[in-house]
Amino acid sequence: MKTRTQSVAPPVGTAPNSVKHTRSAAPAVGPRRKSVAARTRSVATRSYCPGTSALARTRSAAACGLVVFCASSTVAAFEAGTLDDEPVQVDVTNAASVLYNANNRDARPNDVTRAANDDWGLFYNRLNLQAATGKWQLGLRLDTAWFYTSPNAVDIATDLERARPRPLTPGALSPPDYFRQRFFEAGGELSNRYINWTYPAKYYVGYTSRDVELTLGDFYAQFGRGLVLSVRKLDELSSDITIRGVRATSRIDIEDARMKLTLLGGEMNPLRLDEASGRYLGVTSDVTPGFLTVTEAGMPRQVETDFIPTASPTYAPDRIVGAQVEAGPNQFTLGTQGVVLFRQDPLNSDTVRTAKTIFVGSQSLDIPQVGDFGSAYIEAAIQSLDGPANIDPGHALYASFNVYADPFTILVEGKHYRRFFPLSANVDLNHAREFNLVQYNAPPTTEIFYNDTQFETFNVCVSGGRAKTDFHAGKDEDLFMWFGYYNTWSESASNDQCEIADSKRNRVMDAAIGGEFTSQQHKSRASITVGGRHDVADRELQSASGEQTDIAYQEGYVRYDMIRWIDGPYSLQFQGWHRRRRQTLGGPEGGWWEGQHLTGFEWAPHVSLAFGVEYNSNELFAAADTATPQSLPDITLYFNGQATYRIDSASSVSLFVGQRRGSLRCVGGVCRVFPPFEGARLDATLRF
Amino acid sequence: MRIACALAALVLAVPLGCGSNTPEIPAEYLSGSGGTGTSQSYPEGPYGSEEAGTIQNLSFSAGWSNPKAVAYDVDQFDSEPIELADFYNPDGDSNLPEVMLLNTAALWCQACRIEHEELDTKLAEFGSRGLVIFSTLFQDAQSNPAQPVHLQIWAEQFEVAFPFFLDPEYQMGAFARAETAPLNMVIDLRTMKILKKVTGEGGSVIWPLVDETLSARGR
Repeated sequence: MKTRTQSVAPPVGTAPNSVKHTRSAAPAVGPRRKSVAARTRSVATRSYCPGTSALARTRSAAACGLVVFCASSTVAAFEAGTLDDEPVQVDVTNAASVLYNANNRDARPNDVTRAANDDWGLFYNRLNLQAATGKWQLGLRLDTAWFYTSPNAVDIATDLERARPRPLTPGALSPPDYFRQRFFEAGGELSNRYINWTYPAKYYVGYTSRDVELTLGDFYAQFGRGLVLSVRKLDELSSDITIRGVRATSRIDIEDARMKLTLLGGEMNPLRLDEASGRYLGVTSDVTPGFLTVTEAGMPRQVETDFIPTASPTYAPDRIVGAQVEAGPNQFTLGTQGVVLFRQDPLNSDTVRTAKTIFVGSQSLDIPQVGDFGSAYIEAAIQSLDGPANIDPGHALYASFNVYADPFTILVEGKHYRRFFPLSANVDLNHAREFNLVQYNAPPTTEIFYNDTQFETFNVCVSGGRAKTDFHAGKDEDLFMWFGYYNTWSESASNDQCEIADSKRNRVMDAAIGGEFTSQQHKSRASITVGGRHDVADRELQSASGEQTDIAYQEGYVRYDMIRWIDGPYSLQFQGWHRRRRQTLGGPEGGWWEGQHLTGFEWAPHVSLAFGVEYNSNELFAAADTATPQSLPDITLYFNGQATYRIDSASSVSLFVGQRRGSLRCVGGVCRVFPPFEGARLDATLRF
Repeated sequence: MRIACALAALVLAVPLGCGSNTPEIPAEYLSGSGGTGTSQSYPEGPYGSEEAGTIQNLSFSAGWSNPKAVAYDVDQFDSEPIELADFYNPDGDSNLPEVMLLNTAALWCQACRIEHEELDTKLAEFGSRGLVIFSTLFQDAQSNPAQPVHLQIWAEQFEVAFPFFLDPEYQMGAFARAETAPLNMVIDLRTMKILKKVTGEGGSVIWPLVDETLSARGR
């Protein structure tokens, strides 16, 4: 149990004394399953606490120094004794980060959100405890977020008001009225941001035998290829979702046939803190009825502040029940799976979040070996939303085929989705937009993993696929190419009902060619990909300046990753992605350049150094140090440096100093702006 | 030993979170009118920014009540600011609108452009039954404050036929952060209460609600 303190400012017009709220908050516990627990970090830093008191700085330094001391030790998992003659294996890992966000140069006039993401610092610790004896496992992950410095509403409102050009334009709000509005906006913005928490992010007890597996607590789950259910960890979106409840799996082997039955149920448990923004998801007693009282015990609560005197939840825990039966001989596996998602009152009024219940079910066929030349997978799903939007039931068909015909390998994937929605978490997007991308299924896109140009609700109403061919040209040379073609009716038009009409259609081609090469007994290697995307609408679109075109999006790019061995433990690495992009709806006139290059030096096995350069000519992300209207640069550059020291295979310390560019990612009709980063970050990984 | 180190670090870190900022409001801001539009009858506060709250009487000074009628000419902006009070219909006069869709847009916002493509269709469907659409443009493609020229381009592109005003200081920020555009709020003009507030794409929820509300009032 710890206490948390939030400082809030008084309403305008009252004495300018600070009001301090101190409330009891959550106790803490919690890690997660073994596969993830291996990832560990710890932390150390210096000079990261500007704005705090001398005492606080002293204590911070002590804490940091302590962690550095701990990090310098050699570490390993250990045996803690025996229980019923079974050894008890204990694994303690600690992942910690200290980051400081300086002015990230994304300021704009009147924009509270951009002003609120400067000058804050976080110590974020994830302590994982795991123990195993015989058939039993136990795990806890305890997350601690401590914001050692953060902006306040008064400074934000004052800075924005003083940045207004003088004299004020006719019709502009008076300085006090303007200040008042920005002050309350900032107060609301900070009411679920930069607040200290320690909470049990994940925990579980497990029992595993040859035939039965039981889990009570947090677990990851995926049915089929993700059409029905997929909850897991996604580092690129700072997402880590589990189900907190019960899962039982039973396996039965009958001669050459086998069957596996899985039953699960519980509440959906996304990670509650977004470390990129410092915002958290909070619940209240209004949204934790029944067994949720237990599963939400100790989790972050939405707090009351002077700006939001009545706490409203930003997350209303979704509940789920599901089952899967997989059966078949060695030659193939048939899978039948389904889930029902139960909602509380929606915190955002979109099609998916307003559905009271959602059913998704599918039938799959997996043939791992088709003769000697390939494999096949087919899955057909249906989805039903029971909500005020009155959406007709949707369906999805996904198939993939692998063909091995030496020296060629061919992968063909196809999809046909109609009104097939992501199972979005019941999150208040107005107050916690950073969690918009939290969802409980992951329908296959058939696209390359780094594709980020499926705009809006691209995948809800789409048909198409991609074929990729690999050609093994020689011992050290592989060449590849792919071509994808998609028709989507939900990318540049609002179309939840999935009306198949030319007026809503976009036709998308995506192609690339590249190669992978090795040399010097595989000590050196290189891969390069050159690709492009061409997305046209079947109607005229209008750009911001009024230009008419049917081109919705175009891109050409090159990606590369080269490692050149020099001698002994030394090698050089060059890595980059350079893009020329054009987006008619929402993009800048005439397109833009965006990319990054990293030059790295490796001194194996302990030391890595890297220097990075990034750039972006998208005016939406043009750098501005202050919120005063100003001429923005045509292109913004970002520089950074990184150093990593690996203590052993499980422990390391890394430091990042510099800048990273921001980006805009759109899903489900709403977008998340990942703001640029400027500052420093120290990560350390320790395994005990 | 190492576990003790890690736990000690954690324990030491916990109380460090108890520091506080001490904001001090500059003296020049401790006054002001406290509101924008004030000229007409309007429900009294307290005002709110969430569903079921009463929306404050916002006022916008640059734009058109009927853009199409003046051919989107920026030299023919309304001579007087428009206020939400202009739409207040406490008696449910059947000759006046009873429901408002209050909308925001920004040039950088793809979802806003998609949405505006169909607003004229919806106005044609529900306008005669008592719906009024009121839209504000607040940022350009760089996220800087929108200018009259941007309002003109947007209005011409989408042939806007409903009140359309600039919101360069983003007054609508009281209801949603800029990056959440588009914001749509369905307002009951009898009470000026927010019936529904939607960020992002929400047509499948908004339009059934508008239809239901108007039907319930016999319109």
